[in-house]
Amino acid sequence: MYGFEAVAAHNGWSIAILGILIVFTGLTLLSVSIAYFTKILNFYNEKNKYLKKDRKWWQVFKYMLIKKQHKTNDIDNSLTLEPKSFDKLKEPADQYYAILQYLGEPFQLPELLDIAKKRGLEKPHSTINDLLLAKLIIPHRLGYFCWNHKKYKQKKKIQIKD
Amino acid sequence: MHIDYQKVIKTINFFNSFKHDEIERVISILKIIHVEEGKTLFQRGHQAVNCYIVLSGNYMIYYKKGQAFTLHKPGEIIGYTSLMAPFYYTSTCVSLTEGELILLSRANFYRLVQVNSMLSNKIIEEINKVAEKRQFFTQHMND
Amino acid sequence: MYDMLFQFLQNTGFYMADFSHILMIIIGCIFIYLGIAKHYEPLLLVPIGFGILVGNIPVFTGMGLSIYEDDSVLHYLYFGVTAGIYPPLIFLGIGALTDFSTLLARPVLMLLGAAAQMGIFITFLGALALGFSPNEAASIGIIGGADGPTAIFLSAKLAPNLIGPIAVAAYSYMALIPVIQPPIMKLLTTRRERLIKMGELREISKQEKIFFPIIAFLLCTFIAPAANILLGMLFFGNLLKEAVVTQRLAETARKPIIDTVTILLGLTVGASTQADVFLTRESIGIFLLGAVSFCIATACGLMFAKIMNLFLRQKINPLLGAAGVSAVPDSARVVQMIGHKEDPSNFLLMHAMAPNVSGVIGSALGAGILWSFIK
Repeated sequence: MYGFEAVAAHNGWSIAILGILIVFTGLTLLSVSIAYFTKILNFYNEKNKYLKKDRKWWQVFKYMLIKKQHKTNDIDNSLTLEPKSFDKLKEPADQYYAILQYLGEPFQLPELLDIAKKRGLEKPHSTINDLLLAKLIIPHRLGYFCWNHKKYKQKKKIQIKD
Repeated sequence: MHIDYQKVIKTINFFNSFKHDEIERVISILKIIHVEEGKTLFQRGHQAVNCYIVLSGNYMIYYKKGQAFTLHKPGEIIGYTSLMAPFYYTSTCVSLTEGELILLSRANFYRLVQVNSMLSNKIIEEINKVAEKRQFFTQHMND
Repeated sequence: MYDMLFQFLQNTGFYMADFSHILMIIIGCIFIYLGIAKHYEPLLLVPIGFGILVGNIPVFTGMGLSIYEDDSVLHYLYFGVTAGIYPPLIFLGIGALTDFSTLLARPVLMLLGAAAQMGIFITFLGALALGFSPNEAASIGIIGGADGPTAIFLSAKLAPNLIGPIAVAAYSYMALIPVIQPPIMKLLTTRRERLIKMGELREISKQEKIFFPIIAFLLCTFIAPAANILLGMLFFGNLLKEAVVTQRLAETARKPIIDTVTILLGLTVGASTQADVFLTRESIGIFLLGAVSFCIATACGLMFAKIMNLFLRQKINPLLGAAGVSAVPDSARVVQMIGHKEDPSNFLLMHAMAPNVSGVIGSALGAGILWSFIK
């Protein structure tokens, strides 16, 4: 037996309709019970407050005496690593500047990293980070970077004068 | 070495609006990891399973065509696509220096969704603030 | 000596294997791949997949190796499935894991869970129409509840011969929820509806969270006593969780117990899924009906949410209707994802958990009702 005949033969329609109705009824009743139970619970808790009303003024007074301090931690989010002095960065700056003559500007930072690794430069990741923090490498546009020639020349001039 | 997670979490801006008991719950699903310089945290295109919050260190995030940006401050979020669409990493992240990160795995987060959906909603809201700011910058990076 | 060697070779799997064994082993490997590589419900698909491998190694009958032989280890472990022991224990863990506060904050969302359970009964009709017996049709229909333990529980009671394909179908489709639901959600809702923002939910007191499992259990089981064991364990687990004094028991329920039972359930269900049951026309029918039931459940939830909006002052986002399918928390996550795509500032995850957990109650209730009608 197949199709509607099979459904009718096995009381399928009544089982399905009754089943849906019972599930709906059950969950509707539960939903209504919870909604009303919340109100009953609130009433019960409020009732206790009213019974203790003679103590209420004392609680308010006590609360005013004890001021709650809600100090939010003013976290210093501008914390960055102190950029290294140019003395320590001079040699790496020169090395990376040389790479940039080959790469051109603006350049891709990951590409600079790759080339530095291939050329065997020491600690390329942290060096690039130092150059970023010292603002010798600066963001250009749309995720590309460029060399801060002005600052580089300035620092070099200061070095030479010294 | 015992890590005082409460103390560490309180230093992070991300958790500023969280109450004490919420931080306690969150701590149970977090892990602090240490990364060396040059470690690849995740690669573009891979399934996003972990989200990271920077505690210390410096990180570079780069996209398909080599565009990149760097993160230097604690509290920065990395890998948030583990908790929201598209659920795979849209960029590659590399640590530029040694550092520490808070790791929040997707599995643990969804466990928290079941156990405390309001708290997980709060976490998603905070992460979304970061995602919105960054979306402006990154929306065309993988085109 | 040569006779012995020849006899040994005849007893190896290589000699006894046929096409059906190989095909089932491939299917088992596919499940393991989907679980590990694609992260589709790995906690279920990996045990089931490996169980399929275990159950489809060609063995001699009479040596107590097959899951269907009375004196085999697998058979003893499988007893937990056939006797309906494992699913209630899983429900205990689910109850200890689940937070009902979003449901308590807005009880009207419970009706979305009820609406999604229409998928169970419509699929039941479809299964009857396809020629399945009422027992089998009820077991197949419950797949629409998207609740693996409930599906296994009811199949164990009504159609034990179909536990394997039903369990595999139920868990496979649960894993595919992020694929099945989004097109239906986009088809049945307008962009304007998807942009509806849900209001802030009120804080739920500890008292409410403690009273809820007791009230809900009493009410639901008075309506459908056959749902006693599933709902009893679910709400017991939840009470353990909410009553701070029993935290240790709740921790045990939601970690060691649920994990142990999941391993045993997955492995034995997989092992019971053998070629003679799985590679049949009925299995194809079960898989087809399973897919249909998920789609219908999602559609019913969505449509009911739209109907509710005709009467509600504070409109609800109809996407929440799709979360009435009780795959917790996957369908809630899908709702969040679709809502987020339309409006990144719209956070539906928390609100979607309400119909999601209500769906768990609804599917257990539906199973109890079907069991009481059919047995």
